[in-house]
Amino acid sequence: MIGPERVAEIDLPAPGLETGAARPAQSYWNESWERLRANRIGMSAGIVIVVFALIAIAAPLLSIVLTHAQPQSIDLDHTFAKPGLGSHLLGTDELGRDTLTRLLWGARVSLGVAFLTVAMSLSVGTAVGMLSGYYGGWIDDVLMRFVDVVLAIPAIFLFILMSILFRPNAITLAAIVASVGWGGVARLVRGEVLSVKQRDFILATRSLGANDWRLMLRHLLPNVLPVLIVAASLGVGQIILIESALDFLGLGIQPPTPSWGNMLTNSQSYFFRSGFLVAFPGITIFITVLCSNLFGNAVRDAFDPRLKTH
Amino acid sequence: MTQPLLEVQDLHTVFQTKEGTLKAVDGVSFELTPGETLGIVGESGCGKSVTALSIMRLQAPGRIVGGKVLFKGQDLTKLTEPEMRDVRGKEIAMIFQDPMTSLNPVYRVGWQVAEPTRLHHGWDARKALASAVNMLGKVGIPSAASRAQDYPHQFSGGMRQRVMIAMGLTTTPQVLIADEPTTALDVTIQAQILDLLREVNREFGTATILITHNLGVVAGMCERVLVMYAGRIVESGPTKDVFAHPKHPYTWSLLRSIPRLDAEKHEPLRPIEGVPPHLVDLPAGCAFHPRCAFRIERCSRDTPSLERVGDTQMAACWVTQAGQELRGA
Repeated sequence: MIGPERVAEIDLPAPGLETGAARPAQSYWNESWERLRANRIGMSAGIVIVVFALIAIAAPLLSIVLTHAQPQSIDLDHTFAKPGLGSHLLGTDELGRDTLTRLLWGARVSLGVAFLTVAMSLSVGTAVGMLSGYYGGWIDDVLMRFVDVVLAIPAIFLFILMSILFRPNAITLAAIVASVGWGGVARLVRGEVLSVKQRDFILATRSLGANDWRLMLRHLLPNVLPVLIVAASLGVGQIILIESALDFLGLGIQPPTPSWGNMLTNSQSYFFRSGFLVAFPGITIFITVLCSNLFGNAVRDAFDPRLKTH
Repeated sequence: MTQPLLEVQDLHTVFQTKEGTLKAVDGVSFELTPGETLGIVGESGCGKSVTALSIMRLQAPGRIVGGKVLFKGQDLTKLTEPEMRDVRGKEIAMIFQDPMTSLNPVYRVGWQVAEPTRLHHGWDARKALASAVNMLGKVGIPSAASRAQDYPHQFSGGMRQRVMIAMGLTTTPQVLIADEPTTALDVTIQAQILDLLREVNREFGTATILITHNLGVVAGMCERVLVMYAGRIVESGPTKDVFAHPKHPYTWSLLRSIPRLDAEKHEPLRPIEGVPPHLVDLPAGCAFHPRCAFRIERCSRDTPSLERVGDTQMAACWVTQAGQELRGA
C-alpha cells in the first residue's frame, strides 16, 4: 500500500512558488470596472446620463444663471419664439415659456421618477426574490405566484386606475410604475439566488455557523449585485419611456409642472406652428433612453464573466 | 479507553425522492476520541458525505429520522437551530471537497478566514483579521499578511484548500471534518494538504474525521477506518488491521481493485463486479450480496449487523462472522 508519505518524500517546490510574484489585488469589481472603462461608447453614454442627472439637480441654479427664466413664467409677448442666440436658446412655447428652462426642470421630474422607480422596484424585487430563492418551498410558491399575478395585471389599466385614484406627483408616479416593475426583478433575483445558493461556499459558510440573515445579506446579496446593477442601468431607459408615455397620455405628471412627456403632449397641437416644440423634448427623451440602454449594455458586458479573458 | 468526544448512534438520514424514500445513512454508529484521526471510506454515493453533513445538521433537504449525535454528551440532533449554529464552526468545523468553489468570490481571503471568530467570539474586524493572518501563516500561506488582501481567484487550488483549513481552525474546534479534502487537487498538492492536516492534528489536538474514497490517503493518515457501503458501516477497525486482513468482502474487493507499488509480481487489477445498488431500492439481506464473491444463501435473506470479528475489527458479514477467512479466488 502506498501511503501519501512516500509521495511527500519527492522534493516539492516550496509552496510559495506556485503563487507567483505579487500582483495588485484585482477584485471582480475592479476587473468589471476596467472592462467598462475600456468600452468607449458605453462610457460616453454613461457620462451623458451623469451630466443629465447633474443638470437635473442643478436645474434651479441653471435657470437663474443660464436661461434667466422660470419654467412656469408666462411671457405672452414672446410666444413661439424661434430657437436662437437670443434670450431663449431653444425658443418658447405657446405661452412664451422658455423651452430650455422647461427641459431642465423636466429632467428633474423624468430622471427623478426613473431613478426613484428603479430604486423602489429593485429594493422590493430583491427582497422578494431573495426570500423566495433562499427559503424555497411554500414561501417560494406563495411569493412567486404573487409575482405571476402582479405581472399578469395589464399595466396600462392599472396606471389609468391609479392616476384617477391618486393625482400623481413624482413620488406616487414612481410608486405606481414600480408596483408593476418589481415583479421582473424578483424573478431575476430569485433565479440568481437559486444558482448561487447551490455553490459550495454557501454550505461552507453555513458550516461556520452563519445564520440565514448573514447568508442572505453578506454572502448572497454581493453575489447577485452584478445582476442588479445591470437590471438597474437597463431599467432607467425603459422607465423613462414608460413615464413619458404616461405623461403624454395625461396619466402622469400634470401640467403646468414640466416633464418631458407632458411637454410633448402640450406641443402636439402646435406641431405645424413650431415643430421645435415637439423636436426638443422628443430628442431629449431619445438621447436619454438611447444612452441608458447603451450604458446598460456596456455594464452588462463588463459584468458578464463569459467575456473574462482569464 | 478514553471518553469519546463524538458519538454517533444509529443515525438514519433519508431523502424524499420521486422514486421513494432514499436511505442515505441507514443506522450508522461510531465514536471519535479526542485527538484521533478517523477515516471513512467508500464509493461515491455510499453515504459518507451525508453522514458528515448530518453531524453538522446540514443534511437538508435530507432529514435525520433516527439516532443520536452525541458531542461531549450533548445530543446535536435535539438542539435548536441557533444552538446548533454555536456548534458549527466553533466546536466542529468542516472542510469541503472543492476548494475552488468553497470560498466566496466577492470577499478578500482574510475577511473570510476572519469570519468564524467574528461570528463566534464577537471579535472586531481588526482583531479577527490579525488572527486570520496568523492562522494563514500557520497553514503555510507565504507572506500571509499581503495574501490576506487577495481574492480567492488569485489563489491556486492547493492554496485555497489551505485557506479553507485555516478558516476551520481559527476558532480551534475540537473536531474537524474533512470531506474529501484532496479529491480536487493534483497529487503533489494532495500530499502537502495531507501533511498539513497531520500537523494540525498534532499541533492543535483536533480530532479529525477524514472522508475519502482514496484508500492510500486513509493508510497514510488514519488510525482507525470505517468502510461504508449503501448507507451502512460494513467494516471498522484499526487501519493496519483492516488493510492487512479485511473482514468484509467489500473491503477485500476494494483493496484488490487498487494498484500497489509493493506487489510481488505484475498482477491485473480486479474491479468489483456490478454497480452499487440504488439506495431507494436496496437488495434484501446484505446490500453487497449481489456483488459478493463469498455470498452464501443466508446473505440474500437476512441483513447482517456490525459484530466483532477477530480481535480488533468489526464487520457486518455472515461469512466472516461465521469464522471464515477471506482468501483470493
